[in-house]
Amino acid sequence: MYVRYPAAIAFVALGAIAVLSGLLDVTKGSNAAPELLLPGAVLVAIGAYELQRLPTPSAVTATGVYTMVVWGWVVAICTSAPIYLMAQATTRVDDALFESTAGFTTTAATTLVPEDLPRGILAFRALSQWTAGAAALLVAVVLVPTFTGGIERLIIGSRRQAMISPSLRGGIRNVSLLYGSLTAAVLVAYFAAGMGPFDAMTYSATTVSSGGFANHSESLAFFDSATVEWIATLTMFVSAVSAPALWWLLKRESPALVLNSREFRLYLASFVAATSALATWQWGWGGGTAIRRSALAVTSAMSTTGLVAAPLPSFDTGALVILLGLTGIGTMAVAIGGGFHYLRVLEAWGIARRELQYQVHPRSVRVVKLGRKQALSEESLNRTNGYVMLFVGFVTLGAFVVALSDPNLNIGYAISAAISAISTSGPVPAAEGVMIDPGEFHGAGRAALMVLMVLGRLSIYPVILAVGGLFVRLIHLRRTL
Amino acid sequence: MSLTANPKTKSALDKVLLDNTLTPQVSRKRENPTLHVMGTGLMALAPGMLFAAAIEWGSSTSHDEWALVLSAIISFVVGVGLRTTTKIEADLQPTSVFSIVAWTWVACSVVGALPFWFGSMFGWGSFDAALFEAISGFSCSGSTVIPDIEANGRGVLMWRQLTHWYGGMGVVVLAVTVLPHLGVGGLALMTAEAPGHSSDRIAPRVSETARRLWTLYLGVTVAILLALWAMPSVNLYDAVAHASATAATGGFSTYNNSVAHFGSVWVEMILVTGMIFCGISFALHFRALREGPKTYGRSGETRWYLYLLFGGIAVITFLNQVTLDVDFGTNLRDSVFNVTTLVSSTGFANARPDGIGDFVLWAGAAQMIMLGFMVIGGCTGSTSGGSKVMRARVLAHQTVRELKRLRHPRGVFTIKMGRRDALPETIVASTLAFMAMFFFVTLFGTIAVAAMGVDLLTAASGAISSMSNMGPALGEAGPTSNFLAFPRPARMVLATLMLIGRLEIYAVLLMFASMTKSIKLRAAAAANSTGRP
Repeated sequence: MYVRYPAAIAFVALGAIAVLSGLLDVTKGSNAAPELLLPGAVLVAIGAYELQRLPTPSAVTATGVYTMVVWGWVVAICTSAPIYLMAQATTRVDDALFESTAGFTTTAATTLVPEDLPRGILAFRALSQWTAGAAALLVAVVLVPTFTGGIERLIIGSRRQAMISPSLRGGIRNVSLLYGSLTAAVLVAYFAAGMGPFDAMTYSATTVSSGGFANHSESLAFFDSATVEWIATLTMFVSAVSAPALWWLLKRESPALVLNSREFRLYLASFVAATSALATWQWGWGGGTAIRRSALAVTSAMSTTGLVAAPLPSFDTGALVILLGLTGIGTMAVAIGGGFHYLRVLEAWGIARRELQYQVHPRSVRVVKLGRKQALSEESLNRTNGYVMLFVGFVTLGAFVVALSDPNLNIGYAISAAISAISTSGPVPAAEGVMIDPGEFHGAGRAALMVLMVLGRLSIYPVILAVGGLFVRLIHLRRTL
Repeated sequence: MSLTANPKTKSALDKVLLDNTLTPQVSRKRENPTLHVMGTGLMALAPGMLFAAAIEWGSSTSHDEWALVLSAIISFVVGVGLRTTTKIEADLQPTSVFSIVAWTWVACSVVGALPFWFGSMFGWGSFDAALFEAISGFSCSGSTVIPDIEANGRGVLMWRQLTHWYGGMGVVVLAVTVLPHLGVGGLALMTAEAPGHSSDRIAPRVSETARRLWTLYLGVTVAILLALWAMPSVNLYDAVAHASATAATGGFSTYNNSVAHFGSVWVEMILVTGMIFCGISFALHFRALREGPKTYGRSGETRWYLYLLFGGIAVITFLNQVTLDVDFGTNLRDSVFNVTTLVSSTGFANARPDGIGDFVLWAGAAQMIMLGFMVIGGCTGSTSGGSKVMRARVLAHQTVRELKRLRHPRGVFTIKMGRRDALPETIVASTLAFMAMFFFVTLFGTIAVAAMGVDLLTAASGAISSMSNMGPALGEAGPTSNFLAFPRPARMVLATLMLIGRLEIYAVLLMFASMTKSIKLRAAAAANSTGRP
């Protein structure tokens, strides 16, 4: 059940977006329609049949939920890769697998040239990111707290959580409403700003999902439109805000509660400070352009989207380091994007600060607070500490494997690539202002980046649990045999 | 704190201030432990400066002997002045201890920079460079901004080496006695860890502990000195200079090519042995002298340190063999030397034209490992820098525990180090907090340096190297280069990081806490005396 049920859901979702992409391809008279429509229909049929046959999971443990989520993702990635091959978007299996992983982890890293791709595949890429964004949000906001009340319980304040996800069905409805309405609004805004309908659809899908796939190699710079850039900036800024907080604001229950949230204030302060710093550095572009493009680069990094309007190497070195740091931190907790999250930064800072206070008053008893009232338990602090170590450990390990795959690779390049991958961002400035092109990485390096993308998208712990569970099962099986 | 507090519970600092403001003074000496210890430290520098002046005068390589003599006079006079006008209170508060340590280090660095500033090394307009060199010396980092080391006089270069040795003396006592007692960043673990190499077991009094540790430190220095002097390519001057830097795990050399100047594998092996030895806790060495070498085997941290060292050597040698065009002998020699110099946080360089000592040219994966070594460093209680092997152990155990908790959310798991009981959660939390602080400070340092136009790799590795008191970095500031690769303001940022890293972060962050508290109490006392609320 832990594999078949999520696999069936993945098949249905994947089949649906393949069929939709195929239909879009047909309307534009491209040649990829059959390669998308046929497998899409087959996948939908298989998935629907399986879902009808399998019992709906109930009384699932925390490990069970995590395992299902991880296998759902893995199946989606592995199944969508052949579609790229069939549609002749690429002839290499590793390229297809990388593109598929980037798509379903909402990472803007690609090995393909968008201009060479048929419209159906461009739509398929964009929709895979949109679907993955929606799924990630559903898992974080609804599924995990509902079924386990475990790790993510800390991240979602109980009151805010109750608002957006009163029940399983209510949660799914509210998240769908939030995500769907945001996408629709951005689509209309892009269209009104001068984008064609196809571009408006795909770019809105990849902007809202914090994916970052673009239909043009120049990304947003292709449009050379200040309005488009401001729309993208605003969308990315919003998509990096915690979904329960957004819901709270949307319902106009109490905006002050969100605005007073330490995490939101830190997020806002980071945005303002980073944008100001970048704009000051790049003032030579002209005041308006500097502010606009800096704001876009900052929100792109903070939301881990990866859309760009100015080539990143054109930024000053200090600005690039700030952007890399923001990419590593990523979004607020329980937002659409990835990264380490501002809430964990606050917790880590709280722990460090408490230790500083202990040095002055060794016998005092102090708690780490997120707000005026919300004191964090030692258990949750330990968990954050564990997450920090795993995050840093995986980045280090990933960077090591990437560096190992190419002896001539700059080590700064490898570290930047690893941070970018685990934050599910995409294009990241590396040493000497070089842009990361995943196509440059060799087999093992690429594989490491793909693993990091999946780890980052699913917040590490679920992947470890799922893989750990698999090992335990294998050991049991071996003992039984 | 209110002045009307219960007299039984008021701190010594409160007593000082109350006595000074509300009651007539009995003694002319003012109770100020920071200035008192600072004075002692400054007085201690004077003999070193005079020794260096004598070498300068004897070698006639330059005319910096007057700079050294003048600096010695200033150091001694200021030191005596501070020491005679102040005294130490009976009951020191933790904030006062942090303040003492940090301000003494700063004062020694400032006065220690005077010979470089007065002399011909940098010139009058470059006090920042002189200060950088002194901070690098006293913090046992070994990063330099001298463009041509060999163009300087022997005496002033000897003083540069002695700054390491003085710094090492301070570090030994600080790391073995003061910081573990205060429980800084989980260092209380030193007293909990089997077989226990805590300071309070060396001697009952801190002063006696310090005396014994310094004797051991001097003995180690002399042993390295004699071993080096026995080599045909090393004269007494070089032996003294390099023994001082090795015992302190500093890394300064009197030659532009550092250790590569000697071109001797035997010299390198002596230094490697010295660096490995000095990367282990001096308290453990002391215990081993009494209980035999098996003591080392019983220390979990030392075992991890040696696993890390020899494991690192094996992996780096393999990677270099695969990726570089080099014969195995040269590869092994240079890999052993460079891994040891980074694991012990010394920072000597052995980049020869026929070797592979410049690790900036190694494969990216090998450089990644070297960067990891920079972060970890040596053992607690040693003269080495970095975040320490002990903390790396706690982190590893904590990660495993979190993974277990993930599988069994309601399970109770403890961390055991060695054969002892479960590690107290306070120590685990303290260690993790230290690492978080280490990470934050390094990150801020990286951003600050990169903001001044330095590329990411050089900025990040420079910040890590400085925080870990390593010496060389990667990128533009590798072992064959120097910190002139950084702009002047960036060097000051890095010098601050060196101080922060050397004093285990908290001392520097809290060095103003005692002053702030003092100001608040004085203000409260003044308000009380005038009847204002």
